[in-house]
Amino acid sequence: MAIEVTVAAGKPEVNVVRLSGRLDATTYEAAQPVILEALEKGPAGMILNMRSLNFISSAGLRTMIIVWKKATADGKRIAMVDVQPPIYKIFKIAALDKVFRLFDNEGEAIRELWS
Amino acid sequence: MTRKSDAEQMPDVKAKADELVGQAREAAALFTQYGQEDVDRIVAAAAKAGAARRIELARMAVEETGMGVFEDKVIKNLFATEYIYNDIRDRKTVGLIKDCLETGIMEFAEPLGVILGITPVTNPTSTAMFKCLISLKTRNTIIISAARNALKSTIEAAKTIYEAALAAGAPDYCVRWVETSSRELTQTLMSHPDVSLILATGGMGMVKAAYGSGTPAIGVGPGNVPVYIEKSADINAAVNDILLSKTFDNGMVCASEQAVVVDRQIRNAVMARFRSQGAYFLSPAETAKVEVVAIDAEKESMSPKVVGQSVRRIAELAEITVPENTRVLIAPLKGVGEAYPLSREKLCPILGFYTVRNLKEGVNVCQDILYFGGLGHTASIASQDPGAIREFSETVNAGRIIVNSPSAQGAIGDIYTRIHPSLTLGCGAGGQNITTDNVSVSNLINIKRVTKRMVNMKWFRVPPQIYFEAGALDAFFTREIKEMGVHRAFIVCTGSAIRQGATRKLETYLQQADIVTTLYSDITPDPTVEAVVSGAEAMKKFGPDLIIALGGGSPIDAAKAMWLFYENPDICFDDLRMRFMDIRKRIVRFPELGRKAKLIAIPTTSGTGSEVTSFAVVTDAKTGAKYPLADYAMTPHIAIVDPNLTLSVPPSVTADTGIDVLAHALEAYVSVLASDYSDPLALKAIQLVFEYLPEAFRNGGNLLAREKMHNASTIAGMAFTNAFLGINHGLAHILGATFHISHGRANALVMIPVIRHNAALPKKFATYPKYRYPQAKERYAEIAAALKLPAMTPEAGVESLVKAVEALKAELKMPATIREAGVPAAAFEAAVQRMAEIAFDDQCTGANPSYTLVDDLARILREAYSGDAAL
Repeated sequence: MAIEVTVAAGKPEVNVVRLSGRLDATTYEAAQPVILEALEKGPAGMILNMRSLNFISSAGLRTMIIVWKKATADGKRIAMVDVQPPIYKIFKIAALDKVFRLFDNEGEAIRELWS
Repeated sequence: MTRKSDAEQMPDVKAKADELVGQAREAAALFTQYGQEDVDRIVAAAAKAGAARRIELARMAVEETGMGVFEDKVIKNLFATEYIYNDIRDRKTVGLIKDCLETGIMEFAEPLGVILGITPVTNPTSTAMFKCLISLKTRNTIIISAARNALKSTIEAAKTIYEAALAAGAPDYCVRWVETSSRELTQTLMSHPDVSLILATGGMGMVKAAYGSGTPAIGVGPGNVPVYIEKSADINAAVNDILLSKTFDNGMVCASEQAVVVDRQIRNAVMARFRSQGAYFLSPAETAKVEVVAIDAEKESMSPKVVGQSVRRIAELAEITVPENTRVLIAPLKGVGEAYPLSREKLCPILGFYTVRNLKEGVNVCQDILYFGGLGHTASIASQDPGAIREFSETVNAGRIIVNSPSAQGAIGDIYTRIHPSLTLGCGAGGQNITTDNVSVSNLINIKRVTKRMVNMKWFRVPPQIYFEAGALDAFFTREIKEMGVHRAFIVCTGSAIRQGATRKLETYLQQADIVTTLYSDITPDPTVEAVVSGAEAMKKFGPDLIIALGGGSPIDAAKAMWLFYENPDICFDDLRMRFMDIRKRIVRFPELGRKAKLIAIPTTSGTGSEVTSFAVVTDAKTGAKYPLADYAMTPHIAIVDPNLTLSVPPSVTADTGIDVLAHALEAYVSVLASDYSDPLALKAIQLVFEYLPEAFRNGGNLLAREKMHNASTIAGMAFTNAFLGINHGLAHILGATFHISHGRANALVMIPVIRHNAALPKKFATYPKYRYPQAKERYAEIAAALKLPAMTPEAGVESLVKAVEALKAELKMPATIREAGVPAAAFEAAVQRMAEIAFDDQCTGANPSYTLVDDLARILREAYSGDAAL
């Protein structure tokens, strides 16, 4: 699992977290604080870029929910972008696509949520 | 503490159900990412863990339920893990499970989602582990809802599987369970929108509730298993099997025997053997006492007091005395039904006992027993007579019929039998179930079939021998005929052929070759069914081994049809003429021809191509309708294409038959079945017609023109016998029949409107996998280009072709329209709708490049009538 945190192009108040590999029982403990910190440091919110995430476990899903709850509590917006079909299917079955705001790419998320 | 009312409970129940199903749904979602290897690792770990706890779980179940035999429950737990695992371990249940090149079908396994597994009190831990394992193997998640009196042990079993699965990497919550027994909660779960399937094992009430919930369900209900000991049975083995099965876990397996039905001849021997092995036959008075405790008359079912109890306990309850070490109680019964309470299912060591006179009565009594509460479940037979086993099995209504084996162990599979091991036995329609399967992983996946476009095999079939050139007839009948080894020739021709002397030469040649010959000339144009049948009669009398068809289309078509009836006298014309969509899938198969006689076709006109085709047009005398019989069996063995025979054909016939060649070739070229094999033939025939037909018409004595037209006819025949025709012929058949217009001329009259119609964008597309999109316009333009006509664009090509056809018709002095052909307007209008309807159903219509509607066929006919395309 690798996590890369950057600032959104043309939108410094939004952080972008790019996840890659597996977010599972062995990686979530390290990943969760990094994602939460990125949320903390993005005054307007955060984009979770899922392009290279290819597996998510129960623990990984819980991390996502924790992050979402924190964002909601802080009044920040959170977007999920570039979700690959196998992960998107999980979101559909578990009806999480109704919880998260899903967009095709970072640019679209910024246009829709932060402009 | 006071119990909450149902209404008060409801919000709690809904919240609890939502929580359980929500967790299970999340797990199901995550499970979709898992590959086969992940799943197999999880199932292996879970099975191992379940098997390891077989003893603890068996003890818990017996202690909690107060039913059954600890040692037997150990076996059940092992069966539910070891046997089930062994059966499913190598099964593909994830992703691509099948890929078939020949059918172009791939199958993907898709999990169902959340399964609600309802488990019974009789086999609590084993059923729970079984259901958990088959769910995990299929990437489903499961919520176990246990029987009230087996809650603790069932949950423990589910937990055992869950924890092992989790440790092996399964998603959290992949196995859930209902912590406290509640009818309301079970009901709410059953109808929860996110539950994909109910897997219900238990009594009929619960199974019915599952079916009534609106959620898909596989539910299995009660059995009432008869075992028929047929007179040929190995009595010692049969008695042993029954006792083994019926005493297993004190008779709690629903597939265990409930009543013994025995043939009168062996009754005493069977009873003696039972007694010697520890069975006790109840007296009528004892039977009365036992039935009171065993059957709850009010509920019309077995009493829970006796389920899974020992004989000793049942005897205590019934206040009867039986010998020590009695294994089962057997109650001789006189009938089946409410008046005989012990004829019901009793999951304890009590058996009913019936004596029958013969197999018929034995089967019927077993059927009675099944109908009295066990329909569709299981029946058993002990017999050494394969015939008796078969008769029993064909008749009784049971999903499993166990032969010469203990019924309980036989039905659950893979111990005594080779059916899939399972603890959920489907009872089919008889038990109001969807399946008679031993339910397993295949019932818990949806198969997604990915199916590629497939094209049908095509063919190119023509007579094996075609002889041509002027003088071919003479050459063939002086030499080749001798190699055929035939002795009796039946010549089919018209009277005019005889008058013109065409047959005389043929007869002489045959005589010289020592072939006995007869002439059959009772052939009229457009041969009818009746004419064909009488010709076949004449053939039968003569008994030819060679049939020679000499003449135009009519004698050759007639000879083909006669040949068919001659070789197959019992064949039905209505079957043969039945319209088909695909010649290889037709309902009525044509018989093979050539067993009695070979067919040589010798055309004397240049038109039908019948000498090389698989068609024969036969007319229904009653309706005037023409039916093209079609089958490759009717293709002649030999065609002799000798232009000398056409030199005397009069100009009008030359024109009519010649334009028929053009119709054949045009239609074969634009047909949906046109192929690389038929295209060059069709194009060549069209070129020959345009180049040589006018000269053959003007100057019948021009041998070159005659030769080219004769070849064109046969070549076009080879094209259309493989590529088929279209609406040009469909319309011409009925137009010709209605107004007595010759076949070729009728084709000419509709040709131009048909080209225009086919070249336009179809209103409805043709259905043929190889015909990928409409292309008639481009195909007509290709023809125009081949004729060296202007065809810069497809539209220009079509127009050039239409003009060329118009010019050709004019050169042949053919009427341009149906009106010019002398059909009165009123008569035409009166017939047009009917003609369109018949043409729509003509066999030729199916290969047309567009699927043409009846109204459009009528429009085409009207255009052909007036020559006015704007109509």
